[in-house]
Amino acid sequence: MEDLKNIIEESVSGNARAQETLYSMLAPKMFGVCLRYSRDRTEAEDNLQEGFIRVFTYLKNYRHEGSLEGWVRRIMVNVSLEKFRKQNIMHPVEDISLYDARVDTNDIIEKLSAEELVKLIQELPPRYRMVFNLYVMEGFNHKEIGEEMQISEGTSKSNLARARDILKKKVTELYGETEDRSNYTA
Amino acid sequence: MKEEKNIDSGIREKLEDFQVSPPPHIWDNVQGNLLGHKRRRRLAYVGWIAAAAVIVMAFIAGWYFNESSREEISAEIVEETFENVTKNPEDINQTEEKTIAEIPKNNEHETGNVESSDDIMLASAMQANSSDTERKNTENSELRRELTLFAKLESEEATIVDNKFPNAELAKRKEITSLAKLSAEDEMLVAENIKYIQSSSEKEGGWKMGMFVSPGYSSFNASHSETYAQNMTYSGNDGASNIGGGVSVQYKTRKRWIFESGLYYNQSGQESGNTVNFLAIKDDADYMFDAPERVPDLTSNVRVENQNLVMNGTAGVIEFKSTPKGTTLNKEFDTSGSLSADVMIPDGEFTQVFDFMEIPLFVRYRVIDSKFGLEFITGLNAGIVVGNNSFVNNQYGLQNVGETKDISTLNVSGTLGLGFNYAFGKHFSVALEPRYSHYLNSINTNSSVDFRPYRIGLYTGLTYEF
Repeated sequence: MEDLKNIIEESVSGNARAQETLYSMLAPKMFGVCLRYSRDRTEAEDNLQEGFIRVFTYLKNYRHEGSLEGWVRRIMVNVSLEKFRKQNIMHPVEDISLYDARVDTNDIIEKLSAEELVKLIQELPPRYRMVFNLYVMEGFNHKEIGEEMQISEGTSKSNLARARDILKKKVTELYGETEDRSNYTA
Repeated sequence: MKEEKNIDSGIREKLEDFQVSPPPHIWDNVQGNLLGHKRRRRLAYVGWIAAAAVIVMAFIAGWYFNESSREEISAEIVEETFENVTKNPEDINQTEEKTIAEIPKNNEHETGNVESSDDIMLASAMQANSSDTERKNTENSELRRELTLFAKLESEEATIVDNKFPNAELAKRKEITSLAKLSAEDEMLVAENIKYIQSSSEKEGGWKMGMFVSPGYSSFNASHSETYAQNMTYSGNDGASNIGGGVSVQYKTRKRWIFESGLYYNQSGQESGNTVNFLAIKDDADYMFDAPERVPDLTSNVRVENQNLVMNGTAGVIEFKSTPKGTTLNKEFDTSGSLSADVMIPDGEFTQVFDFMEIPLFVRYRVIDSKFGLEFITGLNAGIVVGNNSFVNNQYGLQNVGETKDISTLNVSGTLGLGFNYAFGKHFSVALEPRYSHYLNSINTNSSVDFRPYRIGLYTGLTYEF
C-alpha cells in the first residue's frame, strides 16, 4: 500500500513513469467500465482517455480516503454520464414495447461470456444503458440515479425494467434459440 | 422480482472483474495531453519572453558591433599617426632627403605653404574646441598633437646631432619635416572635423525607428439597453492582462516636436463569471471533484437564433461555433419553439477577446531633451479588429467557443502617455512609456450595446536614431 501511495505522489508531481505505472494498473479494468457505458469501442476509448486525463489532472485532490480504484472508477462513470447528458438529445429514447419474458434467462447469462454480455449492454438505448449500469453495477438507488441523470425516480425505475427486458429479449433471441423454437412450434 | 435480482446479480458477477486491455495509443494520447497542458501554459509566457529577448538581443548585438567597429577604426588611426611620428630618425632622414630632392628650390614659397597649413590646423582645432560635446575628443587630439610634436622634436634633435649640414640647411629641413608630419595630423583633424559636423547635424531633425513590447491591462466601459441587459445573465467586470507590441517610426523636428506612426498589435479582453448558481447534488460524494450540477429551472442566458446558439455577452452577442465542454443541455433543448428558451448552462468564465492592429498618429513633445529624455505623448489610433474570439474557461481548460457579433472592423482610439528614455551611444535609446488608450467609438455596431475597451500598457523598447 505504501508503494501505491508513493506512486500516486510521484504521479502528482508529474513523474511520467509513475503515471504510466498507475495507468497500467488501472486501465484494463477502467476500459471494462467504459465499455459498459458506451455504445461502442471507439466511444469507450474516448471516455477512457478523457477519464485518465482527468484522473491525472485532479489526482492531487485524491485524499487517500476510500480505494483509488473506486475514485478513478467514479471519474470514468462521470465522464460517461456527462457524455450522456450531452448526447441524449441526439438519441431520443426508443419506445420499445415491454417484452414479456417467459424464458428463464439466468441460465443463458451464465453461459454468456463477459464480452458478449457487454456487447448486449452496449446495444441498449443510451438512457437504459446508463440507468442499468448505475443501478446494477454501481449500486445506485433510483433516487440517486434520478439526481445524476436529471430524471424522475419513476423514469429511472421504468428505464431499468425496460433495460432488463431488452437484455432478456436479446439474450433469448441470440442464444436461447433452441428453447424458443420449441415455443414457436408448439 | 426475484428473477430480476437474479439477472442483476448474474450480470454483476460476470462483469465485476471484466477487464480489457485498452489499445496503446490511449496512453500516448493521455500523456501527450498532460504534457501539452503543461507546455501550453508555459508557452504562453515563454513565447512572448523569447520574442522580447530576441529583439533585445538583436539590438544589443547591433549596438555592440557598431560600437566596437568604430573603436577599431579610431585605434587604427591613432596607430598610423604614431607610426608616422615615431619612425626612427634614419627613416625620417631618408624621407627628408627624398623630400628635399623632390621639393623645388624656392624654399620661401614652401615655408609660406607650411605656415598656411599650420593656420588651418589651428583654426580646425579652435573649431573643435568650440564644440562642447566634442571637447574630450579635441583634448585627445591636442594631446596627440603634443605627442606628435614631441616625437618630431626628438627626431629633429637626433638629426641635428648627427647632421653636419649648415644651419640654413637645417632650417629648411625643419620646415620640410613639419610638412611631412602634417599629413598625419591633418588626417586626424579631418576625422575630428567630420565627427563634429556629423554630431551637429544630428541635432537637427531626423528619423527614429523603435520596437516596443507592452505588457498591459485592458478593460472596458460598457452600457447596454434594458432588454439586452435583462437577457444578459452576467456582466463582465474584470479586465485582463495581456501583452502587445509593435514597431514605431518617428520623425523628430529641429525643435522638440516628434511625429510618430507605426504598427502596433494590442489585445483587449474582459473576463466575466457566469453567475448561475449550481446545486451540488451528492454531498456525501465529497471525494468527487465534479459533482454533477442540477439544471436550474429559470435560466436563460443562451438562446437559439437562426439555428445558432447565441448569448448576450458584455461586449455583444456571442455566437457559438462550438459548445464548450461541460455544457449541460436542458431536456427541452430539442423541442423547438419552446417558450422557455433555457437551453444551455455553460459553467465557467467567459472572455470576449479582440485583437487589434493599431496604426497610431502621435505627437510627442520633448519636455527634457538631453541624454535622459521626457516626452508627452498624445494622438489617435486607427484600430483594425483582426481577431474576435470568445472563450470559456472551465474545468476542461480554455476553449474557443465562437465570436462576438456586430463588431466593426475599423475603430478609433485616443492615446495619452508619458515617455521616458535614456540614450546610450549615438543612436540607441531605451524607452519606458506608460500609455493609456481608450476607444472613442463603441466597437460594437449593435445599438443595444455600447462597448469601448481601453488599455493601460507599459511600453518598453529600444529606438534607433538615424
